[in-house]
Amino acid sequence: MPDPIPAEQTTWGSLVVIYLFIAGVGAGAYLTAWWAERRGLSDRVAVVGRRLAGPLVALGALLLVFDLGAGLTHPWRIVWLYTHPTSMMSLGIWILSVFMVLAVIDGYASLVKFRGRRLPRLRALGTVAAVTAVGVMVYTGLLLGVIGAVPFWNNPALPLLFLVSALSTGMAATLAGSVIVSRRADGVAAFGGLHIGLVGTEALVLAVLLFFAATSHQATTRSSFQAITQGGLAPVFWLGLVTLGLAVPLVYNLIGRRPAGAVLHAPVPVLLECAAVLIGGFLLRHLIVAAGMVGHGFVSI
Amino acid sequence: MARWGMTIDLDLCIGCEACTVACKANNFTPSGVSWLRIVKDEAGQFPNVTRLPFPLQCQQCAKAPCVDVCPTGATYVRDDGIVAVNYDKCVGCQYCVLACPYGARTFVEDLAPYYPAGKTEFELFAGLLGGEPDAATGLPGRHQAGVVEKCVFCVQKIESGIAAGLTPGVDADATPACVVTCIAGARVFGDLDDPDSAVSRKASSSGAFRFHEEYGTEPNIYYLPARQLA
Amino acid sequence: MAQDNAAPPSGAGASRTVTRRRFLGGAVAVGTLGALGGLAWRFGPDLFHAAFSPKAAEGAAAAVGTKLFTTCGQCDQECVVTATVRGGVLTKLDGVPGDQKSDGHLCPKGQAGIMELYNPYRLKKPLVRTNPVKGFDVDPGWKEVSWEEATDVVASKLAEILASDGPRAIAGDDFNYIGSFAKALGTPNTYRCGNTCFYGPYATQLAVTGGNFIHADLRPGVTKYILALANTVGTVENPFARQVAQAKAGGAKLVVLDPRLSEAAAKADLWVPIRPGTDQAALLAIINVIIAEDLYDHDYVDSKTVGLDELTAFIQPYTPEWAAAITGVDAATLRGIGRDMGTMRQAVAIIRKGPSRSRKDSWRMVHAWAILNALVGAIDMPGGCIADRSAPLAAVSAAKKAPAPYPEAIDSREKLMPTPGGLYDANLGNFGTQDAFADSIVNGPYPIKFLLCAGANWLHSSPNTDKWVKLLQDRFLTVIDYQMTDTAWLADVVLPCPTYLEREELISAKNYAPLPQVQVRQPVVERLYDTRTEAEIYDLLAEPLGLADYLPPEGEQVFDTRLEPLGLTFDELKAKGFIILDQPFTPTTKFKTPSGKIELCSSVLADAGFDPLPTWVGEPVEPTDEYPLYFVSFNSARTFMSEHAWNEWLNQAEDYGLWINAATAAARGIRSGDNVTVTSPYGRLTAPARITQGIRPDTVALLHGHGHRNTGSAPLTRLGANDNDIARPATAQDHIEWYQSKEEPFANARYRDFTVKIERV
Repeated sequence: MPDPIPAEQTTWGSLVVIYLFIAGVGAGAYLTAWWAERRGLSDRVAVVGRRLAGPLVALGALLLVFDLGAGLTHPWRIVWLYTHPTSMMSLGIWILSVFMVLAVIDGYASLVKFRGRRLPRLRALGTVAAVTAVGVMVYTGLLLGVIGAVPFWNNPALPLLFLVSALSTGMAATLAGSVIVSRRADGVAAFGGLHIGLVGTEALVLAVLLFFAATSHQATTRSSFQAITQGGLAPVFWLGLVTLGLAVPLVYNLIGRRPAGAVLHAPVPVLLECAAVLIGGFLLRHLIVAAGMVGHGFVSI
Repeated sequence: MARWGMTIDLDLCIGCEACTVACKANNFTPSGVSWLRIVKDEAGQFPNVTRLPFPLQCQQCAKAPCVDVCPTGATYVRDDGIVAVNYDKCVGCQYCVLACPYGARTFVEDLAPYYPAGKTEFELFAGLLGGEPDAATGLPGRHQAGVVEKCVFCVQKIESGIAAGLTPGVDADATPACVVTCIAGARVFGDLDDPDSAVSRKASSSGAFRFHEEYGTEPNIYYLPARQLA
Repeated sequence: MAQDNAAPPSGAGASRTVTRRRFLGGAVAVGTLGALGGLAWRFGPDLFHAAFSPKAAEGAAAAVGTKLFTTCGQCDQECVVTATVRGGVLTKLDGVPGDQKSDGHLCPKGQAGIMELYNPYRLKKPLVRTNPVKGFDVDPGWKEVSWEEATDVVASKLAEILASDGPRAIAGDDFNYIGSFAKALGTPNTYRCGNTCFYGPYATQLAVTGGNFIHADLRPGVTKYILALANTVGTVENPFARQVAQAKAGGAKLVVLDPRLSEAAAKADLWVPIRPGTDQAALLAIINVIIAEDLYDHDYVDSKTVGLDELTAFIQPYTPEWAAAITGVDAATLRGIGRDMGTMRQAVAIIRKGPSRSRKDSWRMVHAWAILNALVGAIDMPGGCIADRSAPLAAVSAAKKAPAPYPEAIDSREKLMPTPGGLYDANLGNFGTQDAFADSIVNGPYPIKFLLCAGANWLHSSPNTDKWVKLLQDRFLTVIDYQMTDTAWLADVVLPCPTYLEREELISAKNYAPLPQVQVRQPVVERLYDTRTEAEIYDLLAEPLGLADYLPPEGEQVFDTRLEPLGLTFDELKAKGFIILDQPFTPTTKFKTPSGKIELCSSVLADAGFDPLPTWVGEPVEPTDEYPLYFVSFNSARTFMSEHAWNEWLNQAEDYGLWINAATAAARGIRSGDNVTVTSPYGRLTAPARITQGIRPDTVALLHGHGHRNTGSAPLTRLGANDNDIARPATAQDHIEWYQSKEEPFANARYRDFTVKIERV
């Protein structure tokens, strides 16, 4: 059998990576806020998370429009995006849109005064928003995951991976935001255990995904694995994602839970740790998208 | 209603690219955009090496992944089995490009001229085409930057041919340009629902296969194997 | 002209057509409304465009288009085509069912004729040089002039030289019309590029068979076995490629001897990667098997050939085992080919022209090829290879004023290029090689002051590019072409001619047409630019020199006269496209040799003192420590010499890389796409590496006809490299010595007799 056929074009570029990342962070931030509020962990974190979510997701959606080939020249065609919810992208646009509206309302309605009174926050709205936030996170994974032609993505572990990553990056963004706003890092420690769980789960799911890829019967999928672990993407994977994005936060939080680790709960270390998580989360999207492209279009005869 | 299909005999194809150029002429594709290509990958080590030319274009899948993922409905399957694209609904998200297991869809970045000196008269003519393939004139739709294109079996020739009382696959003026020009006679076109058509007989001959059936795409292009690979 | 690579050589032509104006009228309407609409045009509803379809611009009839018959001119095989013209624009070319060449199918070159016509880098107006310094990187300072002015410049130069040096100081190279112009002028110095391709070696088959039987007549079900030799067989020419494909589909076995896995080899039942330059040895071994095992076609050989006894004695030592060491092909394979060819009627061996044929002993190889085809009964037999069957067109006068007493009689003893006489001059070889022609211009007995090149593009069709550049420095060069070739770039005056799609001709089919066929070439659009055909140009030049009457008559009346024996007018032929005469194919029984038969052992060669049988005299060239690799070049289905380097449709489907075996490349640290220099004892070129398993490790290969170097044409013409930069040159004196030492009976170009080294840049 002849070798696989090389693809003649790469399709999705960095804007999509940023879009997937930011949408995940926004949704994750909202869930962080929702969780913080429910558990009474930190009001400050809850407010920051709520306020971050809507604009972040809106920014992501804006990037999507920029990335559409005809998004700028024929913007009215975007209306058509809402007409085929059987497509994961169309469905995602719906979820994203609903979440965006809810998150903005939940985050900013309280700032608006109507007849001299602030608008009340609706608990039910928050619950619905939280559910759609999960939808957004899962969608960013499913968007890639439903593509049968890219077996590297076509894997149930992917939506789970993006969900977990969105939660951890959303939490990191929210915590960082709250530290920046308040210049104080108290209350952050309360999220330490959750963070360990998330990062640990992320590492585990990533390992499962890569195991599937490494043992796939499809050469293209194996070449995606090769590219990530040994090929052109390997430096980014090992240094950026594994070391900075996973190991550093994990070690930070493990140490932070010990009494001696209290020193880490100062603004600067917290910000550095959050930055590591965010960078790792971004690189994760980048690696997954890029590695899928390595395989894409390689159709073996 | 007919179901248009094609067979490509890999034993006959010599990889000359006449189809590639005929497609450019017939469909006015801009520079750098080709709706079909001939993959010429080598296999083996000298002197036991093969290079089987493998013509690749939209496989006109009955269960087309590109249609499933299209968020706007720009890509759709016609009643005659042709997978068509309505450029005016396409937002250029390129989701379909990813979803196609055959690498058969092209995102048109811009309507680049073939020569840096500017557009030729032929290309200027292309700029005056109507929005949709035209059954009256047999002309294809006008190209747009920012959308995704692909082979549509020269649907404009099929429709104008039928309107003129011709039979696709039999009469050149009603048959896709790549089929008409193929100097090796490797391509056969016609109605797969008509068991007596030449294309049906080829498609049901021994060894005929569809590319990447494992994706469940049910293409309407069948390949006949090369002697070398038999 | 500015040094701007992107700018076409000249502005828009003056003689644009009505249809074009109408067409552009539509474009202007859209443009104006678009401008008025401002953003609305760009961002407005898509429906906006629909109203301005060609239908709206031109009316439905124009968009539906009209179809005209004409003849393709993208290579020399001349397929009949239909041109679809819509609103004055050529939008499609198709083959014509029933035509013996195309039968409804066109190759990529044929399909790409549209871009040949509309290529914006075409020559559009006569150009006169203002900068006397010539060079690829030197701006010639082209001045666009009228035809009157250009004619005046060229004709007065001719008059001046005729007066000072006489007609012999004028020389030219061309196939078509220059002969009659040269005759009117009285110069003996016209040359053809044919020897570059094949004339020399093919003269051998004239000696052996008395005719030209190189063109295949493969027929499905009849042809059972095809042995393709000596490179570039199979996909390059439409009629031949179709024959091979159909014969294969009909069950024929295809075996390709080629150091490179060519497009044909990739489709072969057996690819034999033979050592370059040793095809003759393989042929001798195959003949040996057929003779030794008594597998030859007795009926054919007994009735149509002489010399079998001499051949039988001669061929004894050339066993497959002998050939194995020379060719690198194992004896069993050669024996198998011999047995298949001997037993599978009809079998045929095929050679075609091409740059890789040009080796010292190519004439012997051609002799062996002719013998093999005679032994298997393939010469001029259906399913084998045949001579042209020409249609009986009426002759017309060679001059407008007939009979013409020419002002200057040509004295062929005055010929610039010395030749050895004898057999050499008696055959096609008398044209000499183009390279020897160049040498004679520089070192000849009298000065050449005026050169005329019509479409031959010397700088891409003969070795030693630098020699041409130098010799053109101080000689007046007039080039007739339709694109800015490297040769045209060095001209003093460039006269633009129309493409084949803007010309009118009456054509009698040749090559691959077993039945006589007459076909039309007619303009499918009005001439796009201010161009003149070659014949028109010679008329223009002859007029002020008082020579107009000595040129042949032209036009539809001439075509009508020529068609008279067929009971057809040119107008009728235009409507039909082509006609095939009802003259069934009958194999030749009397060959034009002294014996009237195919002379396996050639009396013609023997009488001239040459080897009457194709003795193996050793490899033409062997690798050395300094130059360890063989070099071959080839054409592809997208190329015809250097003619289509301007065609972007073809370029986008082409690969220009230097073929290097993966092991050879690895040993030199060369990776795919790296720029690689190829150095021969005669020059150097640079090309990107194409790493492949599909070539012998001791051989590299390059696509012929690309790598233009002038800075005034489309940037894309500079893709690839010019294989002539490293080719082996030879002077006219060399050829005389080789003839006199009985090394070669004809002008046998030796362009490929060298080896090379390659290095990563």
